[in-house]
Amino acid sequence: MISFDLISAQLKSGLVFSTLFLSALFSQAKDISVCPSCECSTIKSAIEEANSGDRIILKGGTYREGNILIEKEIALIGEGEVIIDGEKKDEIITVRANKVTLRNLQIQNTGSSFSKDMAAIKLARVKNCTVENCKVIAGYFGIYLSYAQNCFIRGNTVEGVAVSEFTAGNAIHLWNCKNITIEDNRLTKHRDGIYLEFSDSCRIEKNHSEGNIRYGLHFMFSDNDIYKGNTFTKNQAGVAVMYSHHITMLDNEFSYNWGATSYGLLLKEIKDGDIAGNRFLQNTVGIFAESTDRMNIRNNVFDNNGWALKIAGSCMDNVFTGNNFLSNSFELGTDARSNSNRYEKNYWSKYSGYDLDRDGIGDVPHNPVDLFTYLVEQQPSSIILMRSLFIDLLILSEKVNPMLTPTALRDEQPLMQAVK
Amino acid sequence: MKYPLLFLLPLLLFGCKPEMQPLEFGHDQCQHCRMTIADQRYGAELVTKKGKVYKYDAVECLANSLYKDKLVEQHEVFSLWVIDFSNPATLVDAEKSFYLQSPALPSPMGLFITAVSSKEKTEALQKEHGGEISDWKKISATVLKQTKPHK
Repeated sequence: MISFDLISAQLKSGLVFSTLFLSALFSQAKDISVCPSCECSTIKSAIEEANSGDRIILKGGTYREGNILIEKEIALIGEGEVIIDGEKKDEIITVRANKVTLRNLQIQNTGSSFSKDMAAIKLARVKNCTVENCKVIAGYFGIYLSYAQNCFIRGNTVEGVAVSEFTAGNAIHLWNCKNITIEDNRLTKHRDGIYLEFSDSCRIEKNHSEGNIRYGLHFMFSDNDIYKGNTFTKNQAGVAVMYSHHITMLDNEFSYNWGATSYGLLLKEIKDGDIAGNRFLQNTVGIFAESTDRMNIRNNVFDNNGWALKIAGSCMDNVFTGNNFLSNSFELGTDARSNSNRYEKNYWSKYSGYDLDRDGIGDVPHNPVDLFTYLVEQQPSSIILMRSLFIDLLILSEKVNPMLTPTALRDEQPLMQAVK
Repeated sequence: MKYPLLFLLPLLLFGCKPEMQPLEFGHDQCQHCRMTIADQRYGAELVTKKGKVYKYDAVECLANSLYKDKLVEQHEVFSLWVIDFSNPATLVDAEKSFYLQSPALPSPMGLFITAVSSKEKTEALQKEHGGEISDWKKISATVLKQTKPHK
């Protein structure tokens, strides 16, 4: 009797073990293939069938399924040329689960609406998501994240349809996000290339933002973010950093932002940031700053801009050092009569002093606001006199005997050689 | 034709009349925050008695510019305009409009203020998105206090 009990107990535990083993085997992540001739012919049915952790593999082809809602932890991966077409009706992919991955997909033609922010890919209230190597074409918004955390947006191309005043959303849009990494993306023809609002601790690296109708990159009310090694070119303005603090801007290129209201970099009400190693090439204004305090602006190159810098009188305690100012029409425009910022040891190509003691530092200070810059600031139309003999004489006489230009605003130790 | 430019004379008379100008989206710059005005659902404008026009990307910027920075004196204001959310890219009288402050409708300057021309449409929006309705006086006071709606 006893032995029988033992055996049955053993049998039972064996049974429990084997069911456990089997269920583990079945609950293991599986791949579901989707293609017109597959068992699963639509993305929606595959999502319905999938369990958390599964991968859905889309084979080459075009899928037209309207709005696709993902509420499970799955990966949607394209193999070959996979096109998901929204037919200009609705938002295309909506993600509302954590740990979702989208990879190798071409997503195109969202609807457009005034009251709803339509996006090709929308990720709302999610964590640990990844959007990788996707191509988003003709989306009103491209990739839209709200209340997202710890996500990667990497290697995507987002190409909008905005030409000029056309209505369009942003290529990559972050709203109330944290710890988002955005790298190696190509962003064109949208309102802003990348837009961050109330989004902190994000990293934006090696992106290429070109031909957007407003900004290449735009910060609003966002803190502790870093952007590094990006190129912002031919946008209406390069980058706008507004109402944000502790933003680090390293090794970026701001180029060819031309036009009446164009800038390479616009700073408005921002504090305690770092701007280093950037190149400002052929912008109407390199850096335009208003109400900007305690910024560290060092080792940047300002090459062939209209104004290298326009620093409003409302800016305080900023330090400019080790920058190269090369062939700019104006080096520094300002409406300030005094100087509340520090300029030291920069190279100014307009500097005309000597270095008799050969210590590499000019013997007399350099005043980057010359008389003409001052005149243009007061009376913009006087720019028509640029490069005339009359103006050159005026500049010279003002240099000898300064009366109008802010004399306190100067670089006491201008460098004789450009910083390498 | 003794005076070939005489026909231009009447134009001079019109030159100083204070008049609203439509916003040029994607081109005009906000007087207050320097941002390019791009969202056709949001925007504002101030016209002075002398006919000078200041354009804004949002109600927040108009209120801050007028009441906080005091860009122009109160008695110099001819008219105030806001973009009607229910009729994008169209400016309507700011003082006769209604303002919905709802966390579901983010405006360009972070205070979630949406201007709508008619009361019925504002209430319809409120039904859909929630939030609080106020008039110009109340909303500009809200802007000066920088209070965000509750979530």
